[in-house]
Formats: sequence, C-alpha cells, structure tokens
Amino acid sequence: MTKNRRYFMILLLTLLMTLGMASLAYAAGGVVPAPEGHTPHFPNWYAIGWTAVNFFILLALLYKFAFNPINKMLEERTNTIESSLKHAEQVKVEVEEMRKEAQANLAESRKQAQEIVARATKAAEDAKNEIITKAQEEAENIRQKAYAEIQAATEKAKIELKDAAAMLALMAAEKVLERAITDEDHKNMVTKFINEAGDLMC
Amino acid sequence: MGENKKNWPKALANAINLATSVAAVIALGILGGGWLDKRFDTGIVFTAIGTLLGVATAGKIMWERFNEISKTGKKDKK
Amino acid sequence: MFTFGMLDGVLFHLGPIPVDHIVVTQWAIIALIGIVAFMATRNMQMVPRGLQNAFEALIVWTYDFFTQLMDKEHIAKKYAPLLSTFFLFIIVSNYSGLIPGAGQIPGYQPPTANWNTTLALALITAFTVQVAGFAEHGLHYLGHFVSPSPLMLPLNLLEEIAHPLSLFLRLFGNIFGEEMILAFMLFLAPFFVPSLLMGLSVLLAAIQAVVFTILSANYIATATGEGH
Repeated sequence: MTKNRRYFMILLLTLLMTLGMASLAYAAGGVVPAPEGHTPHFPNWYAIGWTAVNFFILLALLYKFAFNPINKMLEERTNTIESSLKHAEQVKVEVEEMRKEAQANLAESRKQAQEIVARATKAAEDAKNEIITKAQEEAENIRQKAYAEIQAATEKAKIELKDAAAMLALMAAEKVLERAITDEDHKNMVTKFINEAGDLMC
Repeated sequence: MGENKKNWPKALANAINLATSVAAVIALGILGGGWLDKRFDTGIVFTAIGTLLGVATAGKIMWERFNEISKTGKKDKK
Repeated sequence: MFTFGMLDGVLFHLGPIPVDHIVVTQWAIIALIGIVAFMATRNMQMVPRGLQNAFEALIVWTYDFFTQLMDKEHIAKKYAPLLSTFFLFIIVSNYSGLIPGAGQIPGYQPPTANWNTTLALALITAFTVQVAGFAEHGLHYLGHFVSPSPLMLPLNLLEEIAHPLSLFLRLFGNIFGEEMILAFMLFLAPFFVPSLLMGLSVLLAAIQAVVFTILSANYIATATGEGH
C-alpha cells in the first residue's frame, strides 16, 4: 500500500518537474531552443579549488551540526542504557538480599516461637509434677500422722490394759491367797504374769 | 558463516570496483598512450604500450579479486 | 538562455579570485544541507523524534554501512563522516538538476554536471586514500606499490591513477549526459518523454551518489587493509 503510494508520489513529482521545466522553457522563448553554450572549460583550477574549499566547509558544518552532536547523543544513550541496566542489576541483587534476610528473620522467629512454646510446656510440666509431688507428700504426711496417732493410741491402750490387768490379777490373787505377800514376791509375780498375759494378748 | 551473503555492501562495492577498475584501467592505458604518441610524434608505439599495460593491469586486478574471493571462500568453509 | 550542463562563466570576482556560477550553486547546496543539519540537531533529545530521528537514523545507518564495507571499525569510524559528506553533497547536487529551472534559469545547473566539480571530488578521494594508507601503515604503505615485485610498479601505479579517474569521469559523465539527454528530449517532445526520463533520473542520481561513496570507501579500505 505504502509502496504504491511512494511510486505514485515519485511519478507525480517527476511530472510536476517536467511541467515546470517545459513551462519555463516556453516562457523563455516560446519554443524550446537547442542548448546554448559550450562544454565548460577544463581544467578550471579556480572552480576545482572552490569546490574543494566548499566541500571542506560542508564537512566542517556537518561535523559541527551532525556528526559531533549525534555521536555525543549516541554515546550518552549507550551510557544511559548501560547505567539503567546496571541499576536494575543492583536492584535485583538488593531484592534478593532482602528476600534472604526476610527468610532468615522468619526462620529465626519460628525458632524463637518454638523455643517459647517448648519452654512454656516445660514450665507447665514442671508445675504439674511439683503439684503432684506436693500432694503426694502431703498425703503421705497425713497418713503417717494418722498412723502415728493410731500407734500412740494403741500403745496407750496397751499400757492401760496392762495396768488394769495387773490390778485385777492382784485383786484376784489377794482374794485367793488371803494373805499378805511381801512386796518382793508380789512384784515378781505380777511382772511374770503380765509378761505372760501380754505375750498371749499381743 | 554466511558472512559473504550478509555483507552485501562489501560485495556490491567489490563488484562495482572490479567492473569500473577494469574499464578505467584499459581506457587510461589507451588514452594515455595516445596522448604520449601525439606529444612525442611517435606513431603508435606508446598507444601499443599503454594498451598492453592497461590490459595487463586489468588482468592483475581480476587475478587479485579472484584470489581474494577464493581465500574468503576457504575461510568460510573452515 | 537554455544551458543544460553547458554553462561556463564567472559570476563575479572575489578580489582577484573569480567565482563561477557552479561555486555559488554549491554554496546554496551547502547552506541547504547545513540548515537541515542544524534544524535536526538544534534540540537534541534522548528519545529522538521527527527530523532529528530521520537525520540520526541516516547517520547511524551510514556508520553501520561503512563498518560493514570496510571491515576495520576504527577506520570506518574515522572516515565515515567524510564519506557521508560526499554522499550528501553529491546526491543533493544531482537532485538539484531535476528541479524545474535547472539549466534554464541563467547560471543555475547541477554542480556535478560540471567536470571541474567532479574532478575536485575525485582528487579529494585520491588524496584521502593515500593519507589513510600512510596513517594506517606508515612508510610500509609504499611497499604495496612494488608488491609482489617491482616489475608490477607501473601496473599498480596505473591502477591507483585509474581509481580517481573513474570516479571523476563516471559522476560527471552520468550527470552531464543525463542533463544533455533531458535537454534533447525537452527539445523534441516537451512533455511526456522527459517525464519518463526524469523518473529514471531520480533513480540514477541516487545511484551515482551511492556508487561514488561506496567506491571511495572501498579504495580507503583497500589502502588501509592488509595489503596484497
């Protein structure tokens, strides 16, 4: 499409140029005359020198207005692109670093949390154990105390029983014998009896 | 590498260069010889020499170009 | 007056130095290119647009083109401005002959239709080629004139002279011939045939500028190359 249009434009341009040329030629002489003049003088060293000078003027102009600024711009553009690439690389590295840091932080906190939970669990366990131990100890104490009391009561009862038995035996013996016995005999007898009775009873 | 196919400016330049150099060298030989003949009034001696020189130079140019092409062709094959 | 390529005359004298018509035309062409370049780079932007974009693209393209053409990048960078200037100057000169009035308005005709102009350009090329050779290889550059043997000296010299001569004659011949044919056609048939020819001329003018530039680049590349 564009190509066709370009060809059309070239055709139109040439037509326009020819029209211009022809009309100018007609205006100049009514009819187109044959070319006048002669082939340019050669070598025309003035013209050659002028052309060389003009060429170098053009070269200088283009250096000033085209090559230098464009080279500078190209260089600048290269630098910009390079620096932005470098910057992007740097940012990437930074992000990677941050990510690693965050990951490390996360692991650290997870570990800490775990530690805390472990510690709390252990404390609870300890408390439980302590309570249980204390309770058991207390129970043991109570039991022992009760046992001691029972023991003491039994002992007391035993002694009372012994006294009572001795008294009864004495009374019975007095009754049986109806005579006074010496204290010595008395004591020996009673003790012997009690011991026997005690062995039997207990 | 296909470098030859890709480098069309060089191929074009070499082609134009070969064609125009051969033509210009022969023309220069003949015309220069003719000019010298006219200058020194020597018949066709210089024209003949110039023509021979021109043709020889044309041959030399072609020979060089041919060598270059075959060299790069070998380089491409490697 | 009706002088297609046949114009030869001094317009005025600058002190003792005569200024020809074509010199003034060249001044106009230089001014045109200079103004366009100035407009394009007057306000350089990081992100190019408009005229700056087009101009930059052109310059960058020529850099790439010459780098491809010359193998050695530092040589291409060094001589690309000169070659681009050749191209711009020649193409604008060639096209100036296609504007209505060229060759009809007294004193106005394309400078490249005058063989003094093309000779000057070819001489600049020849000079640049030798300078480039010496700058790259030093005195070793002289060695390539006697390679592969001193017997080849005349042949090598002939080739070296033929280069600028072919540049000079081709450019002049094409543009001058084009002008002549145009004049002749306009003389025979004032409208239709010349318009066809002008379409061709638009193409030919560009091709001649490209050919001149490419050949100059090739000569510089050969002079600065490995040598043969």
